[in-house]
Amino acid sequence: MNEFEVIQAILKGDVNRYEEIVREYQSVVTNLCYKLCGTKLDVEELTQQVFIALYEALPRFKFQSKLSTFIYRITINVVYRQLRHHKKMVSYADVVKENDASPDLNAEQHIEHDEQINRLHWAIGQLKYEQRTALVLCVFKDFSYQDVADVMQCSLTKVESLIFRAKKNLKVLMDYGTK
Amino acid sequence: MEQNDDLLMQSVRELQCPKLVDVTQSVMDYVREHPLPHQHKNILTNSFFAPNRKWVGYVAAVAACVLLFLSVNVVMLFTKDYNEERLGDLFVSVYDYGSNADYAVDSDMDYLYYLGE
Repeated sequence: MNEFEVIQAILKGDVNRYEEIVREYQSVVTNLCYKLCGTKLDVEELTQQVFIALYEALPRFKFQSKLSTFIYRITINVVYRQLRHHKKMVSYADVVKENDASPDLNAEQHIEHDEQINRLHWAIGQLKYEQRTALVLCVFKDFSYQDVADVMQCSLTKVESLIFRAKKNLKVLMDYGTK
Repeated sequence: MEQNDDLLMQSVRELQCPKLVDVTQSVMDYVREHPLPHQHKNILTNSFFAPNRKWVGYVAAVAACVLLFLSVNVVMLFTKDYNEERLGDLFVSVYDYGSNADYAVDSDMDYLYYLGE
């Protein structure tokens, strides 16, 4: 997909071309929302809000960064805004109710898989939003620390510090989750 | 320690949304119902005079200055308080008075100008 050509077409009035962007980035945005928000919010609703916000922000996009960077930035902001409205703490029990394991696993593997996923998901959700964002982006699509800094619009040093603290806190939380 | 770090990061990387999400239809419904402001079809869209073309403004400003200069001169031509020498220069430069002529007249034959030293 030639992003420049698609965006120019959308801005000139061919809004149906926006579907190409939605189809291209939908799964990426969904996974990013899922990792950033934990289970507090409806991921489908978040994904929809991200693409609507992206559509409204398209006239301001000047190709000074990649479109993907722009989309990730919008995703982070949309999720953060929604999380502020839903400040309720999520317990480990809430997470267990939400997640299902893969249907290919047998019963024992199901339980173990469930356990691990739930623990991890809950633990990521307990991190401070900045730490969580830096950590999730760091493992996302093989981003370098500089890519993370570009998306979060902060310095490289800050990203390194956030990821260090996020890893440390995550390990503590994962141990807490096993008790 | 580092191995644990790698395993942890690998687990975070592999964490995927368990639900299959498809928002294409709902997003496209919204997009079709809410065109962006500059997409309204009128003479300014995709035209030479589209508002987002800064250089049109610069050309317009230069053209306005030139028009102002010319109109000031035209106004001066037709007002009674014009400077005779300046008026003479203007008409001398416009009318062909011949290569050896010593005198020139303006178009209304009101003024005779001496061109020699």
